[in-house]
Amino acid sequence: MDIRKIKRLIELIEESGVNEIEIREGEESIRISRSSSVAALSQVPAQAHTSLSPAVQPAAAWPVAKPAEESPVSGHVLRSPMVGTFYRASSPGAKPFVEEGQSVRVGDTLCIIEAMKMLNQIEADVAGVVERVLVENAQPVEYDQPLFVIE
Amino acid sequence: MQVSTRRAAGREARLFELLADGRFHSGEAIARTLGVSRAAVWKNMQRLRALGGAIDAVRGRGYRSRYPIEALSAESIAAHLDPLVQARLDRLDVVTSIDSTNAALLGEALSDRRVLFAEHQRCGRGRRGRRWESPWCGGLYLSLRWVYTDLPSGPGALALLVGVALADTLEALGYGAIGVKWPNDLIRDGRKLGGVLIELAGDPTGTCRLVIGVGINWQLPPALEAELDQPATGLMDTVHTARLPGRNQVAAALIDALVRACHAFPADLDAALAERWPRRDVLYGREITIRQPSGFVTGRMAGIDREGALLLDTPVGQQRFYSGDIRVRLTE
Repeated sequence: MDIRKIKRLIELIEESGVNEIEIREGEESIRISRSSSVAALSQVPAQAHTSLSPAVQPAAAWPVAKPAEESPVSGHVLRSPMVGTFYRASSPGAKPFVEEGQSVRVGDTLCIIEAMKMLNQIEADVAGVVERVLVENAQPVEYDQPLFVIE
Repeated sequence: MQVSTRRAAGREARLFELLADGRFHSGEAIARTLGVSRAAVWKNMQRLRALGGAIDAVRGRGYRSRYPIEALSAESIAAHLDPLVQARLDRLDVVTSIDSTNAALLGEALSDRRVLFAEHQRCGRGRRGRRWESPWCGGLYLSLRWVYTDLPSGPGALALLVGVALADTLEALGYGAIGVKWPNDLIRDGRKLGGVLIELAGDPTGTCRLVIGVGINWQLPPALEAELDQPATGLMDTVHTARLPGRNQVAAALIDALVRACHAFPADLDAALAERWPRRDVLYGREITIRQPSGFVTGRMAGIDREGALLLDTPVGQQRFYSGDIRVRLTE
């Protein structure tokens, strides 16, 4: 597919109220969704992506971390030690490691962050009650992004 | 280095040892050796098959293992190890059957450098809750525990270098041309030969404990191959004339490769990513699709960055990925 055509499609989708569009031409197909096109467009100069890490992944454009910013946080904030994908349970369908309102001890596993097929168990660094879970399951997280609030 | 082999006392394990020579044994002879009835032999044989043991039964001749199997022994593996590698390990164990070698090493709150092999895993782990099928003696299943205290740019790239080290080693042993599919699937002739799953606890840029799990297919039972979600192959599933090393020797070579890779990391990071990775990378320049929580992203694989993340050229620019299933059928 011609790059100009793709650009036009992106402009079109931005002006419209449509969230996602998929177009097929013979064997080629392209899917543009509003969340990813906005994030990706801001990256178009290829060098700009270096420090932004997973923000270039489409899903990162969703306001997953917003709750933390909307209301002032009083408890201890546990932040991501790495870039990767955030998982609340050991496997899909399994019970989450923790729920909001649950008490945790130092060393309890709170979530898993995956990068390069390395599964990193993130442990509680303080004891207390999990006040907030700030990231949704299976979403990308950035280095230092707040993950949990523990009171 | 402390070394131990723990053979399960279970009847299936004894049965398998009896059949490991690949010759026929009559039901009657087996019953006599094990001190059980012929009906019990038949029942145990069924159980062993359910665990993935490749067993033939022929009327009038008896039972046999479809292939002669060289059982693993920690002592024999240790004898094949590079002495330098041996000096860097605290412990090496072989067990008959276990839930998962990774789970066992991760579960211990210890930080000694330990290698654990199992002839069979009851629930071998793959990525995100997927199973790693571990039929009885059908593969080499091992985990290595290693501790780092200071990794300024994180352990991510080690995942790739482990794959490269395993591919280099198996190829050098004569098992054909082996590539790596990002981040660390081992691929031969477009089929999956092995996989790596690394689990870690602690601070990834500070002190962390890594457990590196490796599963290499040795000889896949055809029935299992049909069940897998992608084309697979085993080390022995190839036409070869050269005399290939036995399982214990291959097991030792895998440990050598893992320990050397862990020991050299991260000092050798840049050189290894620049020189060794591109030679093994089977995706470079290909059209691939990566599955993300938000959907699929398609583009041309453009290599990796210093952290080991995958770079993808897409119509809207280059994107970087840290995880996600890659939907390329290498046999396309």
